[in-house]
Amino acid sequence: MKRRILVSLLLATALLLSLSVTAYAEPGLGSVTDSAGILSETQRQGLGAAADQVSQSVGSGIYVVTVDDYEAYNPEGIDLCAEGIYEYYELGLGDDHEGTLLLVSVKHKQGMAVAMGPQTRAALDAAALREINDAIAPYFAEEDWYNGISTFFSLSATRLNNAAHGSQESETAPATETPAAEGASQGEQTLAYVTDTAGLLTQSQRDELNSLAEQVSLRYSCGVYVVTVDDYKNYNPSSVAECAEGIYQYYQLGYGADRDGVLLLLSMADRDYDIAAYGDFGNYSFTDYGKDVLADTFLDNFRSNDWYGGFRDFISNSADFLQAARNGEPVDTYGGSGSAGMPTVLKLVIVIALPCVIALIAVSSMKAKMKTAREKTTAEDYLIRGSLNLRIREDRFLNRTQHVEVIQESSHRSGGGGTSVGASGFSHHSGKF
Amino acid sequence: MASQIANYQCPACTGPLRFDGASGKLVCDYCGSTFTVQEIEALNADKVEQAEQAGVQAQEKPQENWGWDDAGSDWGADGQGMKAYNCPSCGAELICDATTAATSCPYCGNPTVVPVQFHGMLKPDYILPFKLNKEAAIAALKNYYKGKRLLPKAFADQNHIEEIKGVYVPFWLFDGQAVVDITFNATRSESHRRGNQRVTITDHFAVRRAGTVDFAKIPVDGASKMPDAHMDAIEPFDYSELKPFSMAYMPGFLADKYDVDSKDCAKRADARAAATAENEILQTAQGYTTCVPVNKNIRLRRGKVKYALLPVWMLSTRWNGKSFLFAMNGQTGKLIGDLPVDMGRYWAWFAGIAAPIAAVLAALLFLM
Repeated sequence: MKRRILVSLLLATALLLSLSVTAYAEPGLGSVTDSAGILSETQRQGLGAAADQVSQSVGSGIYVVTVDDYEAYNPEGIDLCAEGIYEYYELGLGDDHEGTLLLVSVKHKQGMAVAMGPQTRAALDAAALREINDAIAPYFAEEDWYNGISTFFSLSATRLNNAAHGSQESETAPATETPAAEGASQGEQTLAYVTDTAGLLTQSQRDELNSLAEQVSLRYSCGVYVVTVDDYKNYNPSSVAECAEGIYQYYQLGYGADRDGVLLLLSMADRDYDIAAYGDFGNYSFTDYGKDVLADTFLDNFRSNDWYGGFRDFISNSADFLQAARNGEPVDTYGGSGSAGMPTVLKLVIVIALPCVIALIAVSSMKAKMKTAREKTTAEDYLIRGSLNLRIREDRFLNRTQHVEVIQESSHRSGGGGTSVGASGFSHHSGKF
Repeated sequence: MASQIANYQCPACTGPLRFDGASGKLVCDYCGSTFTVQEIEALNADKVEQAEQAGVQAQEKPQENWGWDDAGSDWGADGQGMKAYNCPSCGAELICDATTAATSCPYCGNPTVVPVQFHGMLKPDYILPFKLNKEAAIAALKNYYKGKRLLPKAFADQNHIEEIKGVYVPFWLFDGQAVVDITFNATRSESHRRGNQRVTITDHFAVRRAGTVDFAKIPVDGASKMPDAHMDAIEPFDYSELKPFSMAYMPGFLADKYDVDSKDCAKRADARAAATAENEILQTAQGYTTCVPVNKNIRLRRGKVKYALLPVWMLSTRWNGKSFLFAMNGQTGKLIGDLPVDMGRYWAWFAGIAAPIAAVLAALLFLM
């Protein structure tokens, strides 16, 4: 123990000398301390905000410290170095300093998570920490620092959330927050990430998709769900969108305090579908335009009855949308942050083609003024006004036809991107496949 | 043998007279005297009559009295369609197109008229006197260059008017009536929202309109040497100023008799009348969302056909070895003609317009 204290003091001294961050003007670290400079300011702020939110939610601090070389502070091991930092700065919440710290060493392309405090260690036991460290190791090996740290956040937050939710449920009324580690629950009811009541998938396909959806949901703290039903009208809603809302609310789907999530519902009777997004982050990630784009990625599969391919596209593309949103650039329509959603090729086409068309119209107009000798094809000037004498004037009704077209939700947008969120807190994109 | 051509001389000084469009009178540039058309017609009636008779006699005995062979030269095929006259003022031999009805002597400058070109059935019903003079035509051409952004800079500076002539162009004026019977397929649509659906209800109709539309004095030029596009483009003329034909309006200007008869010209008048009649009938089918003709039957009942001489200033310029022809309505001043396009300027304007728009779009799409 004495040795550990000495090491900690040595480490703290080195850190104070090396970290010229204003936050260190007085002892204490922020949730994310990037002394190695491997995160952008946006990433650092985003991770910090997420860490603070989870910390408050579960009552256990979550911290990240990055250094160039942990051996400069403690050559005996990255785990000891992480613990030394945690103790010196008296990190953690409550009297027991409950918390988790991830130390990232750039030189070693390595990250190590440690859990401190009795409750945190109970939630993140040795096996859990090993699982987390194993999960983040591949990212750091490839110097994908941000996603490695994000994965650490997701996995540790999930386990801490589960632990906190279990204890709350036994002490107080059921929480409105419903973690979705193994699906969501409402009372005795649970729902997997992929629920195929219409029987479109094989068991192995369902398991594989369920696992994929769970990984994405955990990584981004935003539930990604797929539900198939024979006919949504069996549940007495007026529309497939209303049915999706009902399922989402009944099973308390979603993740975190806002119950962020996105649900794809397929109703096979009339081949209806609906994408329903919920929660601040859910609606932020899946904009109206984004849902249009997302639908395009799976509709071609569904139209050829490739259910597995369509669901896999939905889940994997949802992950891309969530990543884009986490980076602060959700997939959205043109203008502002929304132009990120427009393919680069389309942008190039617009930038090149539109000016050319406008310029061509303008110079063609100029050129037309250069040629004024033209034969006339009409004789309005020689028409005797008032000479029109109509002998027959018939207007005979033949028949009436009716055309019905399903209105896509996106067609109601007023333009400018963003997400149209209804009073229920949901945003939708519905249609037929 | 009397001369086949007549010139109009000043009764005061025998100088040549010319018709002045601004005053509507004949003017002597030598002594400054002016005379009304009626006065000159009365004074020259005998002379014109004699010239006309001489022309008629010459036509009856072409080998003896006129024709290219009589001119004493052997121009072979080039002589076809040409005629030779003797200037009554200076006696010089004038070589003209067979259709020339008014010209001026290149030696003494006296305006001359060939009355036989207007003899009998060839006599025009109307003439629309020139109102604008040569200076007005030159000014109009210079003004025409303004605002033409693609005009080569050197064109306006370097090109010069090669020839400018006031011509009484022979026109056929067609009256007629279009008899139209058209059936349309028409629709009337209404859309409303029902839940998450857009419902469009379309009523289909069979619409028929049949009736007549009258036209008056549709002009078609009867001179083959005049480009149709130029003659069409300077329309319209103000027919309220048409005068009964008189050769006294012609001194100082050129004139041709027609060489495309009314039967051939009627086809162009018919086509224009039919297109306009269809449009007029279509205007009566109001209140429909779409109206597509499915059966058309348009006939033209031709009415009177009149022969008129209408005033046109023809201006030709030359630049970079290429001729450019312009025409100006001698009554209204409307000037038309095709100009050369500077392709360098064309692409410079193209780039100048496209580049800033592209820059703004790029900033909006890629930077924001």
